[in-house]
Amino acid sequence: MEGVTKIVMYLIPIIMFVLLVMYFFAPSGGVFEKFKDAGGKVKEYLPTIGAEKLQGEKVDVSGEHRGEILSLKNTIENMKGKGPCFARYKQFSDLGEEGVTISLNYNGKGGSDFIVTTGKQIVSDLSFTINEVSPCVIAGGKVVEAFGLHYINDKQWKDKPIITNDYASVNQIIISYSANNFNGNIIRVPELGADIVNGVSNNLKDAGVLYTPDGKNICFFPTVTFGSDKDGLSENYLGVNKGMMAIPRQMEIKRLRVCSE
Amino acid sequence: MINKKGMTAGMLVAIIITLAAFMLIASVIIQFMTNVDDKQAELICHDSLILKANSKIEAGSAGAVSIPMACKTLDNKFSAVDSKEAQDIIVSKFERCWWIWLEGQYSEMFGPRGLFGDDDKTKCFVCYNLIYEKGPPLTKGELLNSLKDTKSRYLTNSSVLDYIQKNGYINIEDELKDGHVYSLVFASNIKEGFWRNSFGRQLGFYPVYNKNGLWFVDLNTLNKANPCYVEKDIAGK
Repeated sequence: MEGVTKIVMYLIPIIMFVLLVMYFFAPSGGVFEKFKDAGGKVKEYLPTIGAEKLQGEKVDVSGEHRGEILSLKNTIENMKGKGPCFARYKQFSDLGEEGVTISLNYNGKGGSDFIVTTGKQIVSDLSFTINEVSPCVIAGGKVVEAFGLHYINDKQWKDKPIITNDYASVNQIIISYSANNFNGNIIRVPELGADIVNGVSNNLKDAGVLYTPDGKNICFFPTVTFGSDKDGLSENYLGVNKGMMAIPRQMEIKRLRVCSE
Repeated sequence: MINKKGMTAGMLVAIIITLAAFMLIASVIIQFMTNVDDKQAELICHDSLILKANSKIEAGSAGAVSIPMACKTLDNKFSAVDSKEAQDIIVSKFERCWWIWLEGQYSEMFGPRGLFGDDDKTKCFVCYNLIYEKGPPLTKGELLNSLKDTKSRYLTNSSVLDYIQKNGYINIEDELKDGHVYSLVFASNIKEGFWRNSFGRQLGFYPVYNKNGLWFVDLNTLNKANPCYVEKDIAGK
């Protein structure tokens, strides 16, 4: 009798277990399936659990900007050790859409770090160090005046007057896009402060012209719309109106020496 | 009447016991975290962040709640005989910090800032304070090149820079010198919304912190300029 009782005691939970499994997980849609469906509906009303994931994306720039950036890099590389002379890179198209920023930073070790970013991310294959060069600009009242006297004239290259201090060495140059006042590409030189270059909109109408006085300093041309002043040369001298004094024109007719020749 | 008094006393006891238990557990965790070595602390922090990310509940206007992190800011002293050695040490810390912080995959780990998330200053956590005792100066470009040239241990066929930039961005001081303390900071993103960023984009401004980031900044700058709201570590530092 005791044996029978024991068997029954084991059988009851086993049968209960089998029944429960059939009830909850029946292939035709047990209670569990129904509960799952109901759970799906309830989920819509419940708060989200788990932090939202951010979408990763490849850091890159458009082919057009890539070409322009590489053109600038190659032009600078080709100007090394030459000078005084002028060269041209492929002028930047609007950098706005992708938020592209190009900065050239003198690294204190004789070279400059060329860093390209989109938003806040660095485009690693377009960022590199160029040895033995440092950035400079044609900006600041006396510098612009001296540069103008030196090169913006109708004299042949050999007859150009000898004038020194026609460039300003700087530690950093930043090229980007701004929609403030007038949309367009801008060049900024942080160490010049608010009064020189940095307050001017759309001031990189440089026709892709670079100048080196000595093959080491590589100068960019911040521009102004009317009349050259402390903020840079008038954009007319960079070729917006193709007058005979414009630097690209003077390069064509050999009044200015081209670095590649 | 007697019953009510009994219940009140019982509840009071329960609350006291709960508080005491909480304080005990908290002190044990803090004690534990202050005594563990750096590697263990990194692992505990990483694992606690997985829990934190997966337990985060967005409750509408009530904000977000989640399990607290068990992370500790680690102070590491280092010296280097040459620039390469210094770069290697710093780059390995960049990669480790990014790994600890779940590779920057999750949005607003510390929750939004301000009412309706209207504060533009991000929240951050200091992974390491790197005390650069003796060695050559480093430039931003050198460190960037090193981040570009060092292979990632966590992402195959990628550099450490690519590993970080898969979901984030980096921000480095222009010049690094010995005798300074540099903080490696995990900076949380700020979620994009119509009024923030999308609208800003139309005006020509770019989203500032729409991704998680790693900042390498002088500790003095971090303390003076307060570029982000620094979250306290488990020891309350």
